Amino acid sequence: MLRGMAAAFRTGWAIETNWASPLVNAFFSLLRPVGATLILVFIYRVAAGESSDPVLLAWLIVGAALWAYVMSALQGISFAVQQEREWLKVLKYVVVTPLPFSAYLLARSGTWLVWGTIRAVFVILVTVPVLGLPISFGAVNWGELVGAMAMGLVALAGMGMGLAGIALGVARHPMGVGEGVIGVLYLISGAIFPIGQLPGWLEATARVIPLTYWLEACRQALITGYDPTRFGVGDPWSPLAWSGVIWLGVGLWAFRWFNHRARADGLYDRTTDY
Amino acid sequence: MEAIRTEKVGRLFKARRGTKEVRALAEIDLIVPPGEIFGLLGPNGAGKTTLIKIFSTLLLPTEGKAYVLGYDVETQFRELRWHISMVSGGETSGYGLLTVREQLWMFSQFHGIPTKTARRRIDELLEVVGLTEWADTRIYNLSTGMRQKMNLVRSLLSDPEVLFLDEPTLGLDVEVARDVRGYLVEWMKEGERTILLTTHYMAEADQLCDQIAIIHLGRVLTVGTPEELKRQAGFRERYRIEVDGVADPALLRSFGPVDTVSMDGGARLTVTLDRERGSGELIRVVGDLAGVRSFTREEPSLEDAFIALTGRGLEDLPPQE
Amino acid sequence: MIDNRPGPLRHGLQTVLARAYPRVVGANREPSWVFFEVTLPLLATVALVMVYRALEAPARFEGYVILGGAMTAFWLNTIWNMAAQFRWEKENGNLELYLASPAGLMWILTGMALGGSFSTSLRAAAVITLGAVVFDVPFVWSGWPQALLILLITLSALYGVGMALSSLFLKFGRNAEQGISSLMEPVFLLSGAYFPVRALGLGAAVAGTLIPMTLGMDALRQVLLSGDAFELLAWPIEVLLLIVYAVVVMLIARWALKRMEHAAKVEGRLTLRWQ
Repeated sequence: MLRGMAAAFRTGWAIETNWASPLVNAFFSLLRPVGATLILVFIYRVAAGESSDPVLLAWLIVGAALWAYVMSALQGISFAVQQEREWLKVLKYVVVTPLPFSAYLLARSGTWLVWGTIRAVFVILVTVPVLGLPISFGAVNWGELVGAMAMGLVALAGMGMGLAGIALGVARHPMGVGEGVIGVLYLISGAIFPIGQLPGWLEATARVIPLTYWLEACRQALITGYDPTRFGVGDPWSPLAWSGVIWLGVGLWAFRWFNHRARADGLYDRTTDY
Repeated sequence: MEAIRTEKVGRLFKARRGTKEVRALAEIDLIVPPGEIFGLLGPNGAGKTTLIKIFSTLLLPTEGKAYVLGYDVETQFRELRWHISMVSGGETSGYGLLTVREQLWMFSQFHGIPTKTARRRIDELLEVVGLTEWADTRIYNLSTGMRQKMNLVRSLLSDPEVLFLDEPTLGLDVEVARDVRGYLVEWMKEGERTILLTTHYMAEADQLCDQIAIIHLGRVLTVGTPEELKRQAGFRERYRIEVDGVADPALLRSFGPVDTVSMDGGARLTVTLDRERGSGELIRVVGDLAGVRSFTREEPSLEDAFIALTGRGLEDLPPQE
Repeated sequence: MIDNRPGPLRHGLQTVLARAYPRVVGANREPSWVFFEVTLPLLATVALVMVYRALEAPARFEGYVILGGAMTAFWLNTIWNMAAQFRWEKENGNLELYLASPAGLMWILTGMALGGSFSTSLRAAAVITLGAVVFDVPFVWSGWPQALLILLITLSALYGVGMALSSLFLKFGRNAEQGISSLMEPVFLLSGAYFPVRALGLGAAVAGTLIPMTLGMDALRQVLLSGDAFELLAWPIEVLLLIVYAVVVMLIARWALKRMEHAAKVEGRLTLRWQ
């Protein structure tokens, strides 16, 4: 199984990167997260005017930077399903191999972990000195950061698998599925505004999403002078742990269910483009 | 005017990142008369599809000139597209969510056919290929054979003067392939039409084609009717004769039209004649010599001719590198 | 050959309607798109509105996000349902059938855009409605006739850009897809999709006018949002510039499509899959 997963990872990496030289590839891969971050910076500047709140800006930037993982994971996994089924037309051949389909997809789209890291690190490394953010690498709580990242990324992988399952069942909209779900999470996970801004029922929803606590835990670890009570999330650790486990289980179960439906309805080689 | 004419057409695919330079076609001189089914026979990688792509204006030759219905494929391709159509074997084109009728209507519009005319032609052609009851079925629910029939109908909607068929029966079952071939023969009778057919099914080429070009490693080895190719390869009609008595092969060899004689087990003769007509005389001579119990004529196959001309079978030819 | 070949314009219209047909029909037959391509992306727009609220910005700033969300829907339609479509058509085997037919590529692209506009317009309308009803954005309703005119002219320019970009997809395939995909957020940034483009500084704002969405959005903001002190140019001038832009970009698209089709035929890329 490991050999198959390694081959799937290499395939996914080749598909994503072999269109250009490594440098050109890296340049284009960083444009989107940098662009998204700059949009937030200018929104901040336009809205805040002359006043300055570096911790708030750092809070925004860290959320935007870490969002690269979410984009890469959720878009990458659902897009892999569409790509393999509708364009490359190899999905059915993969399914009939002994390698578990979930393992294949996880590995095939596993480049999200690599690219998410590259993008997040790049955005933070560039914005800290340019914008004067209160993030000092000597002051980062690395233990908390690593722990938060590990738990958060596992939860994200589970969500991605659930999304891959949905992608199997819808028409040409696997990309729309990914983008749509990212849009929902963007709204309710405290990525770019505090969850306290949301109406009560949405804020309650935000409190069962592991990403909310993941982002909060990472911010607490990274930002110097961060007040944990300011943005209304509270202690993120145990909620991150239990919500992460639940979402991992839900995601894997959802994938299993949709995979079964795909087999029942013959969806592995169905083309629905228009 | 020829339907298709080439003058030393060549196609070289230049080396790119990760690929080598490939000479797909070299000095192809071909003339396809109008009103014929013309076959391109050769193994995978011979250059058949490359040549069809050049004729159907999807690819440019790197050397030489090609003309279809007198139009230069390089400079007059826009006008040429009104007169041609194409179908590939194993084609997966189309939009799964559309029905057969909708898909066909869509392509009819690309060929400028008024909707009323298109609907009538679609109904007529679907009936001919036996797809009428599937007309309102979504394409993703069709079997491979039905899809290919639909693709064939699509190609015929515009009533093209030249139809390019690139391995049209690839992957089809025997019955569907037979239906497709049968329809093509009928279609040819309806007007001045030309089909250029590529295939590596020898029997299909033998059955359908008025002329065949054998192509290998990007070059045309020879062109002729199936009969001419067999004769070129030195093949004659062969007769297997079971006799009652004993027939002396040496005596038979002295009979004029006889080319070769071999005996198998004393009662079975295999005779080839050096001219096309002579079977009547042969029966009489053998009957006089030994009495004829059974008399069977075997035609040499195109595969026999291909092997003789190229030195090996299609499967044995080295792939193009 | 079928008798009575139609004139170029009639044939073009036939092609447009025929290619738009699968888009419209497909959308009706798989209605899941309403949820995934309209409802869910709406939420990303809402998120940015909430950012302005968290920063306690004036209400008209939320109007920037709403108008930006509506316009970006058309931009995405231009890129993914039009420009990039030829690459996907190539993978499906449809592109070679289009090219072997007498239908012009620009007409086919127009059909794609028109068909895609059905779902895109719904998405844009949903965003505007959300802004007006839920967020109480202070739209100037008397400005809607001018806004529709601005929108139509901007779309003409946008779709012209889409046609020009499709030639890149035709030639460069996956390379173009990766490149254009990577430019999504930078385009939103430079066009001032979610904030006044002048905030970028005059130089960057002027450079941003190379994207037709920039002038279109700036003009829309002027006619639909009151008290906008961030305008780049007066909106009638922006409309005139957009008209010129649309004409120029269509001509460029026509030239580029011809050149790229020829180049792709020379290199043998027209039917090369998995590129």
